[in-house]
Amino acid sequence: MPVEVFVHKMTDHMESARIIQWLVKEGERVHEHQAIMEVETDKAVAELESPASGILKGIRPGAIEGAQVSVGQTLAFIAEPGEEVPALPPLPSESAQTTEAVSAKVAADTTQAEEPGRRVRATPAVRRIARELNVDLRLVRGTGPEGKITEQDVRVLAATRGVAPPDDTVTIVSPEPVEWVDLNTVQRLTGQRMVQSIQAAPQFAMTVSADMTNALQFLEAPAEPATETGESISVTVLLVKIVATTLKHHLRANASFEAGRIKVHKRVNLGVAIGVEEGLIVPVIKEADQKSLVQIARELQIFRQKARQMRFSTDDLSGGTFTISNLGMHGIDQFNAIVNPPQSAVLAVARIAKTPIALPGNTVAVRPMMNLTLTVDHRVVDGVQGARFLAEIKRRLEDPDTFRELKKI
Amino acid sequence: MTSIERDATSLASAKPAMSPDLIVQVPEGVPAKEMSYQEAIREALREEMLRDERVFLMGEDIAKHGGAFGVTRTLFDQFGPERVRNTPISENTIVGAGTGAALASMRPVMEIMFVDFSGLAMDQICTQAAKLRFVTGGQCKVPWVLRMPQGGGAGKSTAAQHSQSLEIWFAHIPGLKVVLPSTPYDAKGLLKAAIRDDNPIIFLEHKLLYSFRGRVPDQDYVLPLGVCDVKHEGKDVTVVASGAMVWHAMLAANILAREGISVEVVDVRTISPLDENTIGRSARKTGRVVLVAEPCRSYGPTGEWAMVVIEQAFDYLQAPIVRVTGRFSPIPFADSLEKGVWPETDDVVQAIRRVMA
Amino acid sequence: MEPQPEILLEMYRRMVRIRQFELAAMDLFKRGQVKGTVHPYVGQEASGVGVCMALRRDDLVAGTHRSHGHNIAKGADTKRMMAEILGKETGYCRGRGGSMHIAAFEAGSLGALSVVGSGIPLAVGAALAFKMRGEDRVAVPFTGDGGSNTGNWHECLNMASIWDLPVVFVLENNQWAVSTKIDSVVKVRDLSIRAQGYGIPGVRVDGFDVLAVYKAATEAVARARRGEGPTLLVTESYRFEGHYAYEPEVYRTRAEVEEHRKLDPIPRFRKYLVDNGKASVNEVDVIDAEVKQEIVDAVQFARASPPPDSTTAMDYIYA
Repeated sequence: MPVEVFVHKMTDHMESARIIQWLVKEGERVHEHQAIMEVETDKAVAELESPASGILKGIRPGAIEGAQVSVGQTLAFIAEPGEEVPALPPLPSESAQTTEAVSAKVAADTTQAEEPGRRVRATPAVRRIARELNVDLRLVRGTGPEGKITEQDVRVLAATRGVAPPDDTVTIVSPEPVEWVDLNTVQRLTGQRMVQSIQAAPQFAMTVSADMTNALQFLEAPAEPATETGESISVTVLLVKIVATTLKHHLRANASFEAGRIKVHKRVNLGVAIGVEEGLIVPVIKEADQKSLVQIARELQIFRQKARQMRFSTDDLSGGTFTISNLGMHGIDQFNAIVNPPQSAVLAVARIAKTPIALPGNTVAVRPMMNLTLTVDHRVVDGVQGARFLAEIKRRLEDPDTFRELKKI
Repeated sequence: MTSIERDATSLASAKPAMSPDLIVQVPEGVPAKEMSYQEAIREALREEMLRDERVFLMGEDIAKHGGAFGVTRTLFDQFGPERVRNTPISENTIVGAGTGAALASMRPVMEIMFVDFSGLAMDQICTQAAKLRFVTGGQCKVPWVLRMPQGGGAGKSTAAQHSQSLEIWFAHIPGLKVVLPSTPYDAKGLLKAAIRDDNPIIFLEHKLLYSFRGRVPDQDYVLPLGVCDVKHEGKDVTVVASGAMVWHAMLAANILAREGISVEVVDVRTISPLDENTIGRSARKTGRVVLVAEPCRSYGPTGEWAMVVIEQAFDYLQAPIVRVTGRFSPIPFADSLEKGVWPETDDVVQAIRRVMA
Repeated sequence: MEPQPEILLEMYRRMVRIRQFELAAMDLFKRGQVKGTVHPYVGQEASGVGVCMALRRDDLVAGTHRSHGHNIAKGADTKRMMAEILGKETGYCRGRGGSMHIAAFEAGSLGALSVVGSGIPLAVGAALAFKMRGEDRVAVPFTGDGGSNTGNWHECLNMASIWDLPVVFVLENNQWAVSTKIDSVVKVRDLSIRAQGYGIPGVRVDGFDVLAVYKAATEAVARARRGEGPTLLVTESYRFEGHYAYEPEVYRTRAEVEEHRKLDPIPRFRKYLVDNGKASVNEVDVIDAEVKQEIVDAVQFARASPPPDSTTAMDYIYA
């Protein structure tokens, strides 16, 4: 009689687990209590032991690395050699059995969404269901092959959407004065990305205040050599360089969450959020850590010019691995940015304000302080990792050695 | 590829697998006889000639000789030379005289030996008989049936000029009806309907099916023209097929049933007028469609059926429509060249798998 | 034996009727009131009338593209003929056929058939039906010289001959198949000898002499009714007008046409009737006037008739 292999409840509130890897192969002989699988629960990584001795057979199709499985769900059998085991139906490709598990759905590369006129891929049957449920297919991220939208994708979006359908009958007693503003492409796509970001990634933020005394001194010193078009090095430019360099040592913040795994990008492509009339645009400075301040300044200047005419190439806007957003020029003291998918971290830069701070020895001084807030996707960067990264940025900003180094390039 | 899928290949070599039990149309308990497709056609002719003295037969070698495929055997002895007439080799006039006789209130059933010879009679079939009722504003009607063997099969092929499937030539002509039965039961019922119909009807008989057997009721019965027959109900995928291809579709359905795929087989039966509703209903039910027809791919019937599916069931499609057809080439003689000219059971199985993926 | 006077007058009337009808049709065509074209039978009236007067109403004729004359000779109503040419609902074919498919089934005419030669098998088939049912009816397909080269024609003579069908094959040699003169496409000058190849009698008569045609046709029809099988009857005539109305006849000389116009069968028969006391001048004049009026009425009727209702466009495709 074959014995079922399943993930048992390991913690109080555990309902499912994620398969990290099988430790044995189909057809292998195992003994009772032998570790046959590694799983990740809501708390930690654990090993699943074989419930019996025999041959591991009949692994459920889809029960592979990265798959989310339910507690008690049969994944395979331990059987005698030659003994037949039942054929298990395959796991669905996304493990979401309930609509709360939207987080398990993984976004494909965002660069597709940034191109206007991206084609929506869905079968006629799925399109009909989308029509019936009033779902705009352009807002649905497809999880099928090559980004194809499945029926499940549509139904999940319909269920998790909190907006009443437009044909809700509401009796208007007295008409409110309103003006309708249609979304342009940039706004629509940005909104779409932000929705996906919030839905998919569990985000939290942490803030440091950096003393910008040394930084400002460096920036106000006569520039060397002057750039051709006379750009000066701004705080943003400086931050791009410093953050990029720091990221090289904290690559975990330079990563994406994809198909249940973390994709660490070896190159640092820094996106800089620029506000334009149409909305928010994030052009990318490729390999920012390799570039000089002057090069970064020039690139940023060109981007700002392009932004005025909205003449970006696809390349300008794609490939970003980390984003910096600076609202300091608008007088903002502090803010939390939203992670820009598929990236896992974003740095929100606020204004430099003369602030009284406590110095060692309990004296008080007035220093130019700037709040930096790091928001991270907890699936990729946890609290400690984020804190270390952010602390390092602060350190570099405050360290006079940083600027000595920069002067040389 | 397991041995199960290699069970049946060409129609001819697949015959052992295609026993009468593969397509069961007459339930147990109904008084019936097992007979061949050829015999069923002969019975239809016999019964209609007994029923209506205006029905007579014309064609080459159909009298004492019983026809090139033996279909009219014994009819000459029973009905004599007036009603079972041998003609000279004059295809155009066989059909033309048949048309004239029909105009003068007879009901001729003509035979052209191979559909490939119909080219010689196209003026009388398509330009005259099909249109006479219309151009005379309804002053006449042309109640005839033109029987023609068609089709081929690997190993038994009669090569390029004797093996074609040309139903679409006639299906394209308003005024004609085109019938292509796949079983003895269907052949008899549809031929009787055709003979009783007041229009010129092209009745195509697949020559390899002449020896296929099936149960045929003893009691008189007539099947409706212009109606598809769902030969096997299913819910996962629709296979629309005609003529000999229906047997491949049924065998494929059996093979895939063992894998838990439920195949619905729709036998077109009447090529024109086409029963679009039955095809549409099945496509909406399953959302996945495979079309199988023997004529070569380009401008063959599967193009027409695909548009019917799109017109009737587009919003229900879960996958692109797939078709399995004959190869776009004249039919070669050598065995080694014949492979791939006609669809085989395995092609249908693979097509179904593709559409299910 | 010569036919009775009433029959002679009826012959005359029908020939005049055909002539007047064709002239009126050509006139309408000239005024742009007829769609497509018309193929005038002018000059060949004696051939069609001579044959059809030898037939009963329940005998069948099958025509060609040049069959206004055959229909009228067989007894068709000129009002319904004219209405059909103008494509009206009151036409014989309810406007569906036009000049090239015009058919008066009630008068025993299977109508005009526009593919050269394709009407012949229909007549053969009808004759087969008559024979199978033991009826003494006869079927008469008309062809031209051009049509006698088609496969149809030869297959039909062969099939009718082997089964001794009650057919009279009438070959109206008007010498021209569009722009092709007969002697350039047939080796023999006397087309009636082709009958020998099929073991049936072949007869050749002057197609401008209505009585000669009538006599020969009567004999052939009697043979057929007796069950002795088909006859080939060749009437030698000439096409006075172009292949179609107002065709620029670049392929033949004016002189040749004028020569043949001198053989016009209608004034010839009129003269015969009057000269031989078969009819008075007055009687003949009255016929002329009556037919003229009849055609005027026919044109009026046709013009006043409604076109077919477009919602009936799909009718009559299937029975």
